[in-house]
Amino acid sequence: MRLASNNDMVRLYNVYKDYDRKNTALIDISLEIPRGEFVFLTGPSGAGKTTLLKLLFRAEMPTRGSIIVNGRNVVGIPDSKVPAMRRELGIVFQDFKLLRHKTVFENISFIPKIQGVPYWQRRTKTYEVLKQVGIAHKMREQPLSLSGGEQQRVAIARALINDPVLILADEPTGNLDPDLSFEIMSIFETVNRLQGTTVLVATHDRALIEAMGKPVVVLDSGRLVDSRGL
Amino acid sequence: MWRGLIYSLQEGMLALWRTKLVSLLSIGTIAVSFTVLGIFLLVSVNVGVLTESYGDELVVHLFLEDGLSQDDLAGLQSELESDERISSLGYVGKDEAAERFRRFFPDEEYLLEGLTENPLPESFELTLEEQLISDPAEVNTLVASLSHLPGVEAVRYDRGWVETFETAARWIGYAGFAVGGLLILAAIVTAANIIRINIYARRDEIEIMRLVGADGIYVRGPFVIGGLVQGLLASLLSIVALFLLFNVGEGYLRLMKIGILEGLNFRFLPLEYIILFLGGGLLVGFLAGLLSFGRAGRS
Repeated sequence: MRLASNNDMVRLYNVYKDYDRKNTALIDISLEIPRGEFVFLTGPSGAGKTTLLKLLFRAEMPTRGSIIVNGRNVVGIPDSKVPAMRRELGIVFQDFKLLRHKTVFENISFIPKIQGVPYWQRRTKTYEVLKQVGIAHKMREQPLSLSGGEQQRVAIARALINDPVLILADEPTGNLDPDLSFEIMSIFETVNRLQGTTVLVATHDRALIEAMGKPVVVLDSGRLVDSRGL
Repeated sequence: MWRGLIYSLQEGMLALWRTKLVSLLSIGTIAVSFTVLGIFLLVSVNVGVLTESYGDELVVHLFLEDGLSQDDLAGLQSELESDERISSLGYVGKDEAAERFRRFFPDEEYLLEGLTENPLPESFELTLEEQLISDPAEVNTLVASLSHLPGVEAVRYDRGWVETFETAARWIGYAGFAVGGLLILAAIVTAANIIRINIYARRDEIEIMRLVGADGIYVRGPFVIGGLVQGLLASLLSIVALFLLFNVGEGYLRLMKIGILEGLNFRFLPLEYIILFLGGGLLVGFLAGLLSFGRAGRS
């Protein structure tokens, strides 16, 4: 196992997560992910991938152990500071989680809006990220009129709007066909390469993992069984 | 903070419009509670109008025995006029008494028909000095002494019923606050549950807002603002309903020509009550919005 360093984006030390006595999701996970790295998190269904991601953005709390993200102790943050912490991250889900009653543009722009970014600035930035993911031509559409791949591009654009230091993606290609899956992964790969954003993608798609050739963390039954390339 | 409030106002109003029917249910529930409270207050205010109108004068009625001679009447009148506690007096003959009976009790007019003799007695109406209004003991002493005067059959002191009505007005007001208060509590809980249904219906949106790092005011604010607006609209609606009820009720009472109510200027709720209603509506809506987020919004 490599030694932890201050240059790590994510550090987990002896993390456990129990939902109840019979249901243990994570067992003694210790892991470091360097800044600027692109890492796959894989394992069979029920291995604990989603649980681990949820711990990183404080949707869940570990039963034991400590978690450091971008130099911040995630477990120790007061509830009132959690929104600010999440604004440094970009989170992408398998089911996209877009706001149905807002247009594509509004789904992105409301985030800088609630942060007080002036109108023209947020308009420009929103257009830039939509172009970056190749969906600017659909910015006036409602999410339900888009295909699965297009909706996922919008979700990625939303994750990028705040120039996040870390992108967490939970099965982002789970609902997409292989060709679209590679397209989505190439967007993540470009962001990682050009902007230096750390990317952690949870997926059980072996073909995708092998094709991308990136470091891989393997979970099985809640345990860390392998971490290749880190 | 201001950004959050403006955002909450915009999104809150949008959300109300999108859930029109459910919002109307919530507004209607709160409005009914305020209207019931308002009805009690209206009755109390106008019973107060009645007692003010009649209570400013201290009037004592001296009903005379039948068959008094002119000398007896003159002697009694002279004795009454010399009493410093009596500011003025008026004589009411049998004919005038009958006329007043017909005017005050039009439905009972038939009681006088067919009678060979007018059964209503003559009377003196005594208006007491103003300073006696604050001295009930002295008034009672005077009334007691008047009852012993020769030729006097009975003494009726109007203040008694005025005081009864004043007490009734107060208790109607208390009852209104008690009943209205309970209804308003129930309205808060009902409105909170309706807002909670809205929160549940928009749980996906709330989850997304939390996940992208929106502060609490952006998540809860629209629902609290929605509650505020519902409460304000409800109190406005109740004021309009009360105004309509007041006008209909006043018209009906005038039509009935109840003598005791003739010439009275009925009053709608005073401005301070209307302001209280509006403030109360805002408070009810605010509490409903806050309550609704209990478990529903945090999970």
